Amino acid sequence: MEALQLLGEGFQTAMSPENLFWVLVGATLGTIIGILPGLGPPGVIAILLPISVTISPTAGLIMMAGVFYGAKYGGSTTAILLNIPGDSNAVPAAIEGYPLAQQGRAGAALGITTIVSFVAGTISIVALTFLAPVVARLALNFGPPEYFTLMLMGIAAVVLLAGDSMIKGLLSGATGLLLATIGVDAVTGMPRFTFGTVFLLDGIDFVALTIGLYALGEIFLNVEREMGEQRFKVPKKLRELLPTKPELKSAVMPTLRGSVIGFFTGVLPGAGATAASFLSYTVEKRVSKTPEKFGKGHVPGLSAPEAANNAATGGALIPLLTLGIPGGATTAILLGALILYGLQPGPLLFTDRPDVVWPIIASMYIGNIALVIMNLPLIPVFASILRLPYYVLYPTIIVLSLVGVYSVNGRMFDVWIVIIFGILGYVMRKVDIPAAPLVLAFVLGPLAERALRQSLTMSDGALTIFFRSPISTFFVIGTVLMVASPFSAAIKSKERKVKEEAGVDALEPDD
Amino acid sequence: VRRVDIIIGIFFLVFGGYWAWQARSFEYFDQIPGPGFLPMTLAVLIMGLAILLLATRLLGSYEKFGEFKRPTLEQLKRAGSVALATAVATFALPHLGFVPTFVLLILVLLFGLERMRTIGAAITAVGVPMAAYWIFGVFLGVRLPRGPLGY
Repeated sequence: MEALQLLGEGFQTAMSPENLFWVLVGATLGTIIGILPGLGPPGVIAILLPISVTISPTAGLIMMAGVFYGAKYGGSTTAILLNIPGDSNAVPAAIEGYPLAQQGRAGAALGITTIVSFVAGTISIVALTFLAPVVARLALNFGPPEYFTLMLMGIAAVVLLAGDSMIKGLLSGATGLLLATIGVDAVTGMPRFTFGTVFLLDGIDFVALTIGLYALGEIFLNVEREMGEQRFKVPKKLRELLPTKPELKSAVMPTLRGSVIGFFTGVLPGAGATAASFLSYTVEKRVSKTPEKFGKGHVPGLSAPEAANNAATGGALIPLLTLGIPGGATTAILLGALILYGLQPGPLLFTDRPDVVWPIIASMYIGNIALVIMNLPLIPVFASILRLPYYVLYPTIIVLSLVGVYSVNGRMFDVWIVIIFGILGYVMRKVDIPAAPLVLAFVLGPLAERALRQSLTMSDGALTIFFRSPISTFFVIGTVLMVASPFSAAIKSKERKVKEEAGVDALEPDD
Repeated sequence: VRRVDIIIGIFFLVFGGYWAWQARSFEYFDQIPGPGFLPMTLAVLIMGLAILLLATRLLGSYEKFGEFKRPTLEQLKRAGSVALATAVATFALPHLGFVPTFVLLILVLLFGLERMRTIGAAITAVGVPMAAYWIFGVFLGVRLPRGPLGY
């Protein structure tokens, strides 16, 4: 009840004309940043930091929070329309949303992601409002063994992302893990596989890898044909651009599941929205009655990771505000902003400065509503981009991809990486090696490796450390079940086939 | 498909072997896993999977082979031209600057490859790089490569 009262007071402050203005500025900027590939919220918040010190701490933090969650709304737009995942957490949106766009359902896909973003965002803010202290205490129980087993479960999900050939899927996943080992070893500080170049000390940039594999790889495939005509069907009637009732209905449960996964994964430092997005996608595929539809433009496959991606934002603010622990780059910069304003994030922040914390939380409710109102009418505008002839579209995608990647670190090396992975993406499509396992393993690999080595250092090399806590044991069991599931399904299918054949033989008359 | 998968298998066998050879220089395990632990384990895993792929394809398998979308020479030429033009543009970017490089790239793609010699193509060639320059270079303040013309 106290939280409700404080939230009410927060709303009074957040609804002041000045703060409302900054909510809208942050949310709009965030949406634009989300739509553009490359430069994500951390870069933009860092740019805004000097500006924000000229306004009140509440207004400044409200604006920065707006950029943070606003970017999640826009993140899937280019992924759906152009197969450019603007950020790592938008990769599942490209996997499911782009095929929907190819089927003439771009408007529906954009509508679903906007509505799902709103629902999941609101769920995570409600959870942030009422569960922050409890969840923060739970997050403290996550040590390296729990992290490793959670990441292992995520990596094990590659078996669910493998296409027709399990071996090729596993090869793709193992290659992703191997590529993730390039760069300075986080434990010993030793450079690995840098081939003498300083550019590889930080490893391969994730944005460059995904944009290469998805956006450029797709372009190289599409331009094989003459490009004179429009490549995508875009319905002319507004009604046909919006999601249908059955589509929305099929998104309900995935959204709820994705919101829960996203919120709790977002709480964990280091895991973040990307892990949340992929975990949610694979969980959805696992629980789905129609897993064969995934990867071909399936609404539950689009809505679950989108929900997780958005719900992770509320989760990520919990360790920041209650413990002073930033979980990722954006929250690290937000931590810097809090300190810049003379605020000390930690358990006492909620009691010492309710005048700042609660208006920020209240502004997130307002911003979320503003975003859905802003984004829904833009759907026909965004969808109409696909009406452009492909010969206009593909050079635009190339320019956006290259400049987007360059904007992250300002390095030409990353642009070369895009081209290399673009060619690789083309070849992988040609020989039917799925890219999703590579991307998933590449994201989770470094987190898993660090946690594994920290865990084994703690236990002097004893693997029993992964069975000492109920949380890690739970994740180990989950991993085993996940790995076993496709094999057991294959065995069952084979048994069924044998039975069917036996049945047919029994019915056939003897010679 | 079978032949393509055999080539893929050989490629991954060599790739895994090369990576394992490189990973030898890092400590594998000394009470705790060293920096070579994961790379070496993965390289061996990749080689194992490659052998499995070769074995299933050579000895026959009930696993689906997937699909090989064989490109024609003309298709390969078109895809290769776009990749080559993009690579040349990337090489020229720091020397010519952002806008001139991408104007030239789009001109080459539209006028040269697509044979779209229309006003619309010319507007695209100039408009897209200018718009991208304004959004990233001016609005977002990204320091984009500058050439002799200053942008």
